[in-house]
Amino acid sequence: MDGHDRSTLSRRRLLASGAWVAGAAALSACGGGSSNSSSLSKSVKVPASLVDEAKKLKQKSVRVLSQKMYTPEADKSVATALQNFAKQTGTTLKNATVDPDAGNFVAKQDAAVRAKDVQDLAFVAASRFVPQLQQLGDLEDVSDVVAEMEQQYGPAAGIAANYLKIDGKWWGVPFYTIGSGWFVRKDWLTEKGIKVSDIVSYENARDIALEISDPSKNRYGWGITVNRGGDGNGAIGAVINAWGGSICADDGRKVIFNSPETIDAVTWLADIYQNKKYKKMLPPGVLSWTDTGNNEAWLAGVLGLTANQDSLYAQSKSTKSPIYGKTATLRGLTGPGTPAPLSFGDLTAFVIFKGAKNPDLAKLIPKYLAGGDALLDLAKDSGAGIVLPAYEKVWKSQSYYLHGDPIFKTSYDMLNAKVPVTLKTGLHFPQGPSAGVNAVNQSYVLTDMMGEILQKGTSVKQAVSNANKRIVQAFEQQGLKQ
Amino acid sequence: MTLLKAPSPAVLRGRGTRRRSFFGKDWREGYLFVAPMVLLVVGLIGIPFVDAIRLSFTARHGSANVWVGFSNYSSLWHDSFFRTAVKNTVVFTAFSEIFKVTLGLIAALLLHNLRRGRGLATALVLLPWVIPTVVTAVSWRSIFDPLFGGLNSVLSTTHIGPLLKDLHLIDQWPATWLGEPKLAMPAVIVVNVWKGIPFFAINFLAALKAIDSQQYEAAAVDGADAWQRFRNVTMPSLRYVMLVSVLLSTMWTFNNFDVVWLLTQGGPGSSTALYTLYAYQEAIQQLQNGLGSAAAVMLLPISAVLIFVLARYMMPGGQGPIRAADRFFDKYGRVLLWSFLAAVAVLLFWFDRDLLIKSAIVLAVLILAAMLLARASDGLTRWRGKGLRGSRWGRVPLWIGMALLLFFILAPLYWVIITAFKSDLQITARMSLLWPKPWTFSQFTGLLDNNPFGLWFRNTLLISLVSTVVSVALAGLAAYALTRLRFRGGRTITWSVLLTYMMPGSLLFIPLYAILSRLHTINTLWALIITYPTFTLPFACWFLMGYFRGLPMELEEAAMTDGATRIRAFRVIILPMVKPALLAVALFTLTNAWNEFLLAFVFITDNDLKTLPLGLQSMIVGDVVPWGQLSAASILISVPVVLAYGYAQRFLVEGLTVGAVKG
Repeated sequence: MDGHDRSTLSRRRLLASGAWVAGAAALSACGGGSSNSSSLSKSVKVPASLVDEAKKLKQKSVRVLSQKMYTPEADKSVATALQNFAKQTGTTLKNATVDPDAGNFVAKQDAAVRAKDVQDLAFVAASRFVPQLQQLGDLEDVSDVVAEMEQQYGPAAGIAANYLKIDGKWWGVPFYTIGSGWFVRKDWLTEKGIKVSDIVSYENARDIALEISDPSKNRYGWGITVNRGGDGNGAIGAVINAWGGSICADDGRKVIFNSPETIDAVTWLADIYQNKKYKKMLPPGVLSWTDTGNNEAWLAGVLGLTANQDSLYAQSKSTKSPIYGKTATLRGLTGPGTPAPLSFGDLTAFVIFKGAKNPDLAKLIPKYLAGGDALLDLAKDSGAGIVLPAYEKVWKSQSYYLHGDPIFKTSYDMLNAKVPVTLKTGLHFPQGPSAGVNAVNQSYVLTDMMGEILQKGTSVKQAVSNANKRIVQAFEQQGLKQ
Repeated sequence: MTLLKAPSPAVLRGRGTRRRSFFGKDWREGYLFVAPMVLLVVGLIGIPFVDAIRLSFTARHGSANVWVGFSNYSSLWHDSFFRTAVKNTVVFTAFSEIFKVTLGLIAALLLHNLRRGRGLATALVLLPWVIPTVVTAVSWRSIFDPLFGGLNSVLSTTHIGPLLKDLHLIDQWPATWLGEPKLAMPAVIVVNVWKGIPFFAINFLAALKAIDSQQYEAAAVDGADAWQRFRNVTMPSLRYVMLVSVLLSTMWTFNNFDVVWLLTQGGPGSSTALYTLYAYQEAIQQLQNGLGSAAAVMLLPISAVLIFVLARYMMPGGQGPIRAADRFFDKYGRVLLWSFLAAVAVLLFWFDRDLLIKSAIVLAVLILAAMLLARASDGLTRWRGKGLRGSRWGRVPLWIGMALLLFFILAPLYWVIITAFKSDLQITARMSLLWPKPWTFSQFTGLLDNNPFGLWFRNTLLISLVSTVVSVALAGLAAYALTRLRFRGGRTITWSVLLTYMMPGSLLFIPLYAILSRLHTINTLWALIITYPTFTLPFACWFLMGYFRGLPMELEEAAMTDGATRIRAFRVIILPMVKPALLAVALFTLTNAWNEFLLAFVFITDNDLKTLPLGLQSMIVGDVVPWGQLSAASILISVPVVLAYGYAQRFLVEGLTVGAVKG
């Protein structure tokens, strides 16, 4: 063997052994640990009434699908709470997490129901998924559970019925709420002598965003994208509603998108991205943002205003970002079509799938998690405002829910505001649950419409008309004849 | 009692002869060897494929799926979004392939002519192939960020950015790479090219190694310069491997989903929406399997033509239509090729004139630079008079070229590495952009504390190893049978295996989900263990078929004359000879399994069963991306595969050199 061979061999041996060492090191470092084996440091006591109910279900098992909750601590908290329940009731709960933004949740669950191999229980964003899953025939009626919950914890948040009650029956059990709204850099406003309370309407917000913008200092006022993604969908939809337009009528079934109000709203919104006057308030790349874009730019400290769920606020708190202390919150903005902001927050709900193996055991989980110590732990672990109560008595049961963070009280006011709000066009918000709206949002009709206007130069009127055709098609595909 | 009379030996011999004449001489072993692969491919690709075609004639109305005839096809015909998606797909595929071939060839030539450090340089060039697509997309998105991304920062510092604007290659500076419709498509093409260079480089490198060095020496004696040697010796020798690599890569690119989905989701507007994204959106997000399937079926003719040409090259000496095609290609091949290229150029000019002109400029610069480096190397070598590859000075231009190439390949990886060593605040506040201050291990500790990384690692290792063993075994048996045994239906099987490329994986998974559910394998590791080999079998089979073809038939014939059975001859004589090729196929399959995302994403739900790419993706929650932990995880995921390639890349090149690239 010559020297060259020796060196090659030794190098190869080194690499080969390195691969195994790296693999072994990774394995041993992690010890095969799993989120399910996270320490049960907190041992929340399961209420005695539930332990009694579970007695006849001993040895039974339930598969739970948990929506991911923005922070690993919150996910761990849910897993821990479920293990506590299983341990104290002698049942088996198998928990898995699901990312609601993955885009294939409904398709996957529908296929699972049809294949008769589906989880028993899941908790997911109510307005986004429950109507569509119900329309597909994938859910069980849970009216009995909601009735019991309301008896114990008081009425559910005002939005709950709008998101979960279809044809007089409940298809989801309210679990927790999450606030949302506008986030504003109060330090930038102060420098310009502007008060947070000056921002009332969309027009105010746009003009103030322009005023506080200064690209030479990396300051961009308008942190709102209309690109494909949940944030883009939400932003466009909110403006249309504030102008008095809507995808559909209050019943969630009849498409009324192509209206003068919608055309006015879209014209106003498109102007922001087309008019050179506003160029300096737009962060570079804003039209390429997916859902992470505004979070990243906000945390990087270059945005003056942006809209989001309170997860953004929680993220700035958990990463100890200096932006946290400079953030003011607004619950929403008004527009020409509405006297009050159309911000109602969001709701997460439990659903039981058709074909669930142990629905009776599954029905006990909401009763355990949606109140008491289990929810309190979850609220604390999840960060600022990601998990808040869904029932009136639970809000009042602990001072933490109203005073744990400055944002909680504003969330409470928003989530418990009187609904519905009546628009000048006679529409009522929040509207009824709509599988059609779910489908429209999932196929990004609104963001595609903005893309047509901004990238292809299509007129607003034509783009709205094109979008209307796609919306009608989407509704009909959901079985909602137009 | 009725006694059954056993047939006489003569009758049995007669039946055996009739069977042999009908099914072929080696029908028993042939069918036995291909059966496992056929079962897997038919069950997990064939049936979902047929189901997808059936679905294309249906539409979902409410919870029911109803038969609608051709209405999906007619609505697609009038759908401007679909037309845009098709146009984008053609643009994306054509430009990606042009640059992948050019850069892959330059990389291979540079590697081939390196005398020292070739192993290391080859391993580094292979890195983009090894890195999971999720990591690729996350890194490039971060690099393209117009405010804080590394690209704008570097291009501003070096004044290249403003120069690009002055040359009218971009419209504004600083550029918003993924935000402007005119830039977004070139940007996603760059990422696809970055990821695709290794495939071409490794194939071309193997083909270059297979060229007899005497040809170069003879050309040099005749006074041929570097360009003439390249044109008259190198290019003709690369023709086969270039064509097959381009065809395979074209089909992969044409059906690409993940790179664009993870980078732009088709935006801004629909400027990067490909037909696979359109199909996915319709089928999965809007639950219109019918329309989504129809969109894929509409484009089947394009894939079918590519497969037909591919089959012609992968199955030389064919019969029937293939043989007729052979004669036709032999006669008109050159005319056809140039006509095809001209048609593509016209199409690209029509679709995106601006991009075509700019790409032509960039391509010309690349080729010119390569030629200059080659001439400089040649000149310096002759000047020093130490033979063709003997001069140290002659290698300086090669190393300059190599350094530029490695900069392009390694820069995104550098970004991943530094991000892994930054704190959360450094990342979110965009501090310490190109160099962490201070360096911290907090992302690694956070990753290991908050996630079941060990379980993900174990699952991935298990699935990768088992599916690799299955894939290599099945592809080995099938390739042996299809190249060396004579049995009826062999060519049809080879064709059918190639047909698996026609449907994008993103569309097959809903029918697949139903099949696996019926087998009670959904949400188990088995779902991945049996599906992963299926999708790597066609390439593995092609690879091994080329290798088997290169072995003399006399080898096992001699063994069988000495009394060995076919199976024993295969096991004892052939298998030891094809070890390098088997190892190369194993590496390919292992990489695919290690990095696979889409199927794991759909089939696995339980946390305990997640694979590494799926685990990484699950760390992203809605609009909260833990960049630092993702980067740390990317490094930990990549290290074993990188080391494996560092160890075994020599076998990969050897395997290709001996067999597949010769056709």
